[in-house]
Order: sequence, then structure tokens, then C-alpha cells
Amino acid sequence: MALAGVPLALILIFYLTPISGVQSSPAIIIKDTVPLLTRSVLPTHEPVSLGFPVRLKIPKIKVDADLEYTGLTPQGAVDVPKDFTKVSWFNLGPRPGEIGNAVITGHYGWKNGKTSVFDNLYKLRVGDKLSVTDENGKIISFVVRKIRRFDPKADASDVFISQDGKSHLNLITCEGIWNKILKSYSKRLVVFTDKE
Amino acid sequence: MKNFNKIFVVVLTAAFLLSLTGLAEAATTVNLGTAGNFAVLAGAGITVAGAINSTTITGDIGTFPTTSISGLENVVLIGTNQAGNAVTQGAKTDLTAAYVVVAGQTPVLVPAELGGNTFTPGVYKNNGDIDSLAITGTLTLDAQGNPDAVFIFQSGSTLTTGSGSVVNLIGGAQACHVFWQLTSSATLGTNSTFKGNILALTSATLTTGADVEGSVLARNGTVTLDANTITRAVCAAPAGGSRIRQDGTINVVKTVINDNGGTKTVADFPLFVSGVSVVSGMTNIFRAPAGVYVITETADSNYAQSFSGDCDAGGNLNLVPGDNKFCIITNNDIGAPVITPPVPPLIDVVKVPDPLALPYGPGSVTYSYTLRNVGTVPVTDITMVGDTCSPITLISGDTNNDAKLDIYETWEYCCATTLSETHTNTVVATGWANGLSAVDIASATVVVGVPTVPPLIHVTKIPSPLALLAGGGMVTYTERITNPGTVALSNITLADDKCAPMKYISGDINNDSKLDGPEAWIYTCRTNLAETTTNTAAATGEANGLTVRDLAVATVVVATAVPTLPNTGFTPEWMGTPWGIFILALVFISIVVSLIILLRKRT
Repeated sequence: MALAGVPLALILIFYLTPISGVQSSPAIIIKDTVPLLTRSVLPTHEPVSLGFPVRLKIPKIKVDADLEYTGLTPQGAVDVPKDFTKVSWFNLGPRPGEIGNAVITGHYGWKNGKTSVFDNLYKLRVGDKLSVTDENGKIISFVVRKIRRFDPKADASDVFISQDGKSHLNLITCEGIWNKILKSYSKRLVVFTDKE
Repeated sequence: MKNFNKIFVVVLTAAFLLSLTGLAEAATTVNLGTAGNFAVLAGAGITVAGAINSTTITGDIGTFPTTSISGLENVVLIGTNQAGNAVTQGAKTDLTAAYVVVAGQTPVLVPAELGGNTFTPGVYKNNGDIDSLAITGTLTLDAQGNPDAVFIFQSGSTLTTGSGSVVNLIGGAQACHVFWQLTSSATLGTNSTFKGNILALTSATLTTGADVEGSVLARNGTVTLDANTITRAVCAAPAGGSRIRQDGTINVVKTVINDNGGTKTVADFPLFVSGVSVVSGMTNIFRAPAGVYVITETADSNYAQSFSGDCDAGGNLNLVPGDNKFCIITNNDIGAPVITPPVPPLIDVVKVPDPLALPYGPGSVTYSYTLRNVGTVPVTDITMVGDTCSPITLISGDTNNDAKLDIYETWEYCCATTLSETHTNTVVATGWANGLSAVDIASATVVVGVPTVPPLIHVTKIPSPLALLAGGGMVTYTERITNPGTVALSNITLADDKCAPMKYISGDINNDSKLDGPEAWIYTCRTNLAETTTNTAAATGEANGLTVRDLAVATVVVATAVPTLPNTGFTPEWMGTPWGIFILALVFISIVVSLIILLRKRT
């Protein structure tokens, strides 16, 4: 009887594990690429007293999410959170609050009767506020500067590079029409914010 | 190193000059400038008497402001007739300058008749009773073994040499270093043999059959010739080990960055120093002082070139006698932009000779080399190029025998040689990772024949981060200076060619401003890098009157394309499609089947 339950349990685990339909094996990608890069690329961007980010809060759309850390996929795209209820900090760029463009990604789309963390990101407007809490409990506040929609393959230099010597946080999710063949939405929504 | 050699030169020069004290005033050699290219240069014309082709001139001829040249058909000219052109005019200007320099040197007064005497190097002038210098019979000039020895003769009026008179050069004396400065004119007797450069304010006359090794230069008057042989004096290249250094070394070191799909290696870029082929990492001796040396290579259009080290951004460097200079030439491939920057390798080599000094003369020396990986990735294809010691043998360190210099490995090499004179030996270590090469340089001097212990210095440079995403960012370089030798170092300096300022952090434990053996002085420097950059830090220190220098080279890679945006969407209907159900069923069936097989095998 106990053995008979095993396949059933496996199926349930398989079914319930939030594997994103848009990528084959995120867990393996992270294992393969991130440790190598984080070791050499991560160490310093700005020697400030900021810790690693641990929580993102966007009161207007009731987001209060834990952070994962992700790097790049082998194809050179920013990797996405494993958990669709969490957001992910792109750990090859600056930390939120450091000089430069910090990037946080989150999923969009309905999943097992639950919504993803950035389903309502599109509701943000210029002037809305959000905050990131670091591992030391320090809260860094940001205010929305602009909102832009990109094609998935568009040049996203603005998202990753800024030359103004200031601290920015850019939030990214998907939007638009689901393409079954590409397993991708038609647009990327980027919310550009400035440190207050 | 370079300062050490400078000191060496100064000491030797001083010793040489001391030996002359009491004999004559020290003569300083005179640069004739472009006038030195002329065998005959005049101000008021050149006249050549005699039969056709009876005079042979090796070197250029010219006259200005009077440009007349008569009897040119009597001359076999091995050189160029510059007539009164701009070259001649420039040479006349240089002649005036040289004349002033020669006339300005302080002489020892001697009898006007020079013939029958032997002179050692120095500045001499007729004693005033008779204004004219004369050579009757043989005048001997003895350089006493120094081929660079200078002889200057000044005359308040004329120089007249007798028929059949001879100037005889012995002891390594060279006509190129003999100068005759006359406030009037020179007349060389028939069939006389004359040596040295004549700088006459007025004119010069060579009577029939007079031969000159040197230039006949008349500022204002004419030069008159008659069946003569005039050969411009050229200094012989110095033999090895000449006591006064007239050379320095240049070592061109190649690094290659393949972060955009390139596959070239060091050997694919032939290197040249002012057109002379050189090998990466090999030390080459070049004349010094000389004009600017230009480092070039057989370029590849798929690679961008940049310079670091002792040469400027155009690959130019100046060489002072005794310099040991390094020019690092980096080739970065041009290709498809990359999003993920490859992590470059970083290596560090230290060299220590044993013994550091051979005070009683020639003997054997063993160099020990310690090679470490100070980066974050294993390094392959290690080469150690030593300029004057071979073979360099790997003794230990590759603990897992994978031929890779792993992050926590320390490879020990050694090489034994015999030294007969004080010598600076250089090693260039090269290694590869992720398509990029890393180099480090270590030099060490062993003093032979003098009871002086030379110092050693070592600098390690570690950039953080080693790789940056497109757009670049702030990089912190941490430099660590140590003293692998046995004497404390003072006057420590540290500079990087592409990062400033260098900030001292810590290390002088006993606050004596000297880098002692157990100390490690830490410096940092921060800079914003927008593109892949190779830079070189140079540390210097002094002890026992010698200056030592070490270099550290590092590359930081900056990616050329930003990441693409993440794919953050879920398909809401994924689980509801027929395909989803079909896949689920397949998985279910395969799990059940494998379980059945497993269970059967167990029983």
C-alpha cells in the first residue's frame, strides 16, 4: 500500500511544483551558471554598508515579497524567480540602493488558482513608492520615474546601464499576449524607479 | 632595475674620470648633429683641384651660404651632394652649435707643437706663445682602452700639419671622438694622415694627398681639396661588456583577450621594436640613449590593440642607458557582443636568486620562481620565459597533476646558471583561462664582484571584480607590496598606468617607513571601467644604493552587450491543454513502469 502511494505522490509533486511553462529547468540553470559568476563578478560594486536585499514592498499593489537571487541564463537573459510568489534580484548588477541600476524581476500570470507576484505591476504610476529591505533591516525607498514596454528582444541598455551616478531600481515582468510557440508573452513591462 | 644600472654607470664614469684627474680636463663628447653626416661642409664654397676622380669622399658634401662647388668631376662621392639645400643649411646650424660646445670646454695648455707626443683623453689648447697648433711627424692619441674616450684640441688661430705627418690612434681611440676647434683655418700637409673632425671658423685646405678620417667642416670660409681621401668618422659599435653603458633593455610582453569568439594566441602577433623582430617575454638589448623606440606588431584587423607598461598609448618609449623597460601590448578580439563577460585569469610570479651577491667574483646562482593563481579560475597553458637562464624546471606544485594552475596551488620552479658579472634576469609567466591570457613579470639582480646585497621587491595586484556586465562599473584594485629579499627597502613608490590615486592602507607595522621582510604594504586604487582594460602597476624601492622595480599586470573584462529581458510569464492555460494532460499521462505511465521494474528486480 505504501509503495502504491509513491507514484501518486510523485505525480502530485510534479503537478503542484510551480514549473514555469516558459523555461525548461530553471533550477539547473542557476546551479550551472550563477555560482561561477557570483564568485568573481559579485564581490563589489560600491563599498557601502548595504546588505543583500531580502524583501520588496509595493504598497499600492499589495506586494510584500521575499527575494531570490538570480543571474543570467545561458542565452544571456536575466533569469527569473523559481517561485512565482517571490521576486528575484539580478545579482550580477548593483544591489538596490547602490549606484547604478539594480534589477528585480517577478512573474506574471495565473498559476494553480493563484496570481503571480507582479500581476498588478502595470497598475503602478509615476510617483508611486516602493521599498527594499536589506539583510540588516535597512529600508531603501524608491519612487517610480517612468514606465516602459519593450519587445522581448529589444535593446534594454536603459534598464541595466545608467551614467548619472545615482541609485535606481528597475522592476521587470511580462505583459501582453501569450505566444504558445515561443512560450512567452509579447511584451516586457519595466518600471523605472529612483532612490528617494 | 633601471636605476641600479644608472648608478652603475655613474660609478664607473666617476671612476674613469677620477683616473684622468691631473692629466687633463675631462672632455665631453660633442654631438655634431646633422653636420656629422657630412664629410665636407663649407660656408663659402668647395674647390676640388687635381685629376678627375682623384679625390674620394665618403659622406655628404654641401656649402652655404655660398653654394659654389668647383671641380666636382674630380670627386668620387660616396654620399650625397646636398649643395646649398635645406639639409646643408640645417647642418650649418648644427655645426655652429657644436663649435660653441667644443670651444666652451676648459683646456689644459700644451706646447703648440703636438708632433712627437702622446696624449691621453682630454681638452688641450696651445699655450699662447704661438697661436697655431702644429703637427710635425707623429701625434699619438691613446684612449687607454676606453673606446668612448674624447680628445679635444683647441687652437686660438690655425692648425698646420707637416708634410707626411700622421695622427696615430691607439688604445681604442676612435676618430669619431676626436675634435679640432680652430678660430681660424686648417691646412693639412701633403700626403699627411689626419684623424678627427675639423671645426674651423674660417676655412680648411687639404694639400695634395692629405687623407682625413673625420669631417672637414668650415663655418664661414671655403674647403679646398686636392687628391684627398676624406672618410666621415663613424664610431664602432661597442663590444660586449663595454665599461660605459650605451644600452638598455626592452621586453615586449603580449597579452591576448578572446572574449568575443577570437582564437588567436601570443604567437599570432609578431612583435617589433622599431622594426627589429622580438619575442614576447624575451629581454632585448637596444642602444641608448637613442631616439624614441616604437613598439609595433603584425596587427590583425579582428583585434583591437592597446599598450600598457613603460610605453605610451602609441607604443613609444625612450630608453636611457641601463633602463630595463617593459611594454605590454594587449590585443582584444572584435566580434559579436557578449552578455556574460568571461572571467580573466590572474597570476603572480616571484623570483628569488640564491645567492643574491657573489662578492668574490663569478659563480653559480640558482633562481627560484614561485607562481601562484591569484584569480578565481584555474589557469592552463602556463609558460615561463626566462631571458638568461634555462631550462626553467617545474619542481612541485601541481598537486592534482591536471596541468592547471588551480586557485589554491603554488607552483615552484628553479633554474641554475653561472654569472660572471652583475646581472639582472627577468622571467615572464603567461597563462590562459576562458580565452584570455594573463602575464606577470619578475626581475632580480645578482651583484658580482662587489660586497653589496641587492634588494628585491614584489607587487601583486588583484582587481575586484574581474569581470563586469556591459556598461562597466567601479573596479577596486588592491596592490600588495612585499620584500622577498634580505634588506629593508626605503622610498617605496607605487603607480598604475591606468588608475590613480593609489591609496596606502596599511602594512608598515613598525612605522619606520621601510618595507621590512615580514611586512606587506597594502594599497588600493579605484577607477570606473567602461571597457575591457589591461593595466600595469609598478612598485619601486631602494636599498644599498640600488633601486629595484616590479610590475603587476591585470585585465578586467567588461561585457559589450546588456542582458536580454527576463521571460517572466506563466501560461495560465498550460495545465488545461490536451498537451498538458497527455504529458502528465506519459509521466504517470513511465513512473509506474519503472517502479514495477524496480520492484521485480528486488524480488
